[in-house]
This record gives sequence, C-alpha cells and structure tokens, in this order.
Amino acid sequence: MTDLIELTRGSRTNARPQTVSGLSNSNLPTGIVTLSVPSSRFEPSDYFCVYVATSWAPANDDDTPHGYSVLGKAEVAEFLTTHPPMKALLEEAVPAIDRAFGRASIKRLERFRFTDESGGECVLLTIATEKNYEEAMHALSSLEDAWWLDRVCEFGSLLCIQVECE
Amino acid sequence: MSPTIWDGFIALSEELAKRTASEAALRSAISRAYYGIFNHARLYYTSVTGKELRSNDGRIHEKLWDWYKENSNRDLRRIGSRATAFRIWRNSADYDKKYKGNLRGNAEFAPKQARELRDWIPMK
Repeated sequence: MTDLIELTRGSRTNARPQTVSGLSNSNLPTGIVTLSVPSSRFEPSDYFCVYVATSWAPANDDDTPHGYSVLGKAEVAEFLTTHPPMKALLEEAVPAIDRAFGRASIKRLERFRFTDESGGECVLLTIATEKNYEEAMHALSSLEDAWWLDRVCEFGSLLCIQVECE
Repeated sequence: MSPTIWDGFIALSEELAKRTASEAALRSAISRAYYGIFNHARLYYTSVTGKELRSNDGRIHEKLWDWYKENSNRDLRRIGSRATAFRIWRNSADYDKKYKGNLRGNAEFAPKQARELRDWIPMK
C-alpha cells in the first residue's frame, strides 16, 4: 500500500510524527510527498522536511519504551541497554507527561551527542505540544514539580527534556 | 567579568531574534542567549563553591549543569535541567549544518528562557 502524504506549508500539525509513522509502516522504502504550494519559499521554521527525511517510528517492541516515537531506534535501544534503569524511567514519564501536557502531546526520543567542547551524550525527550510558550512552560513546571525534579539528580546526565511548542 | 556583560548577551540575543530573514542571526540569537545564562550560572557556581570553572576545562558545560542538576535545592535542579535543553539548542545552532528543530521559534524563545533562568539564580 502506498502512503501519499500531502503537507501544507505552515501546518505544523501535519508534520507531527504520527503522520510520518504512516511512512515508516509502508512497505515501500520511501514515501511520496507532495507540496500543495510547490513554488513556495519555505522559512527556517517550516521544519517538517526533517521529519519526512528521517525515520521516526513508534516504539512498539521491548527494545524501547512504549508511548514514544523514536528516531534512530537501534541507537536509542543501545543507550538504554547501557543504562538499564532508563527504560523504566521513560515508561513512568509517559503518564506524568500526559497529566502535565495533555494526552495529545507527542513524545519523541532520540540519542543526542553534544558537539561542543564538553561532549557527552544523552537521550533527548522532546514533548511537542500545541500550547503556546507560556502555557508550555507552565506545563513543564508542573511536570518538573510532579516528577522530574525527584529524578533529575540520578538521571539528569542521561536524559534531557525539551519542549517544542507553537 | 561583570554580570551586566552577560545581560548584554541576552539583550543582543533578543535583537538578533528579530532578524527573521537571517538564519545566521537566528542561530546567533540562540547561542548568545545560551552564553548569557551560562555565564550567570557560572558566576553563581563560583560564589557558592569558591571554585572556578575555566573555559579550557574540556567538560565545563557538562560539569556546570551537572552541579545544578545534582543540587539539593530543587530550584537549582530546575535551572540545570532547562539549561541542558538550552545547551542542545546551542549545539545545533553553532555546529549543525541543518538546525535540528524549529529555528525561528527557538530563537524567539531563547532570550525569554535565558531571562527566566537568570531570574531564578539566587542573588549572592
């Protein structure tokens, strides 16, 4: 079955991972993407191209925690294998995130390597939300107070949480 | 150096974030805002511990934010956690050929975030 996805410029909703999951579930190695305004000039914030070009896949087996879309699944799984308590931590994060940001929030995982002079690496958990900046920061504070600040001493060097908002 | 210099970094970041047609300006807005809060946080670290984190110390960013994230004070842990996410933005802004994320949005949020974090750092 072919997945044909149409992305409309500026519509961030269409660029969310669940759309791209359709691509990764396809039997085809690549998807066909049409742009409704092909001649448009795209702005730096029109970042849906990133999602299309990469392979977000829902975490749906035992290598990675449930409730997330994962970029670079093998790399994330390897990191979690090296740090076994991380998987349980990420699974307990899901309901906490849902309570703070709502169930519509999208949770993504990827392995991130710092390229600055300090180096190091972590799992980056991105919470994508339709909330505006102020609402999103309020929700992040709720998440921190209810869960993360009790875990950050132990896991702060392994997990980084960022919010992507409207 | 005086903390006002680092506030100047944040103010400069705000100006750069308005230059939405320039990817270099937007990336620099993120980078300047990050260094604004990084240096404020470093001054506080030194005032509490009596130790200097020097720029030629290879793991200065990691060490600084780990100190915050592992602190007994919850507010400092919050600063450390958010600043680490900020560090990720700055890494992409300064090093990646293609910025990972919403460049315009992050450039707009960066000075706000830096001011918030600065305001949470206790006066010493």
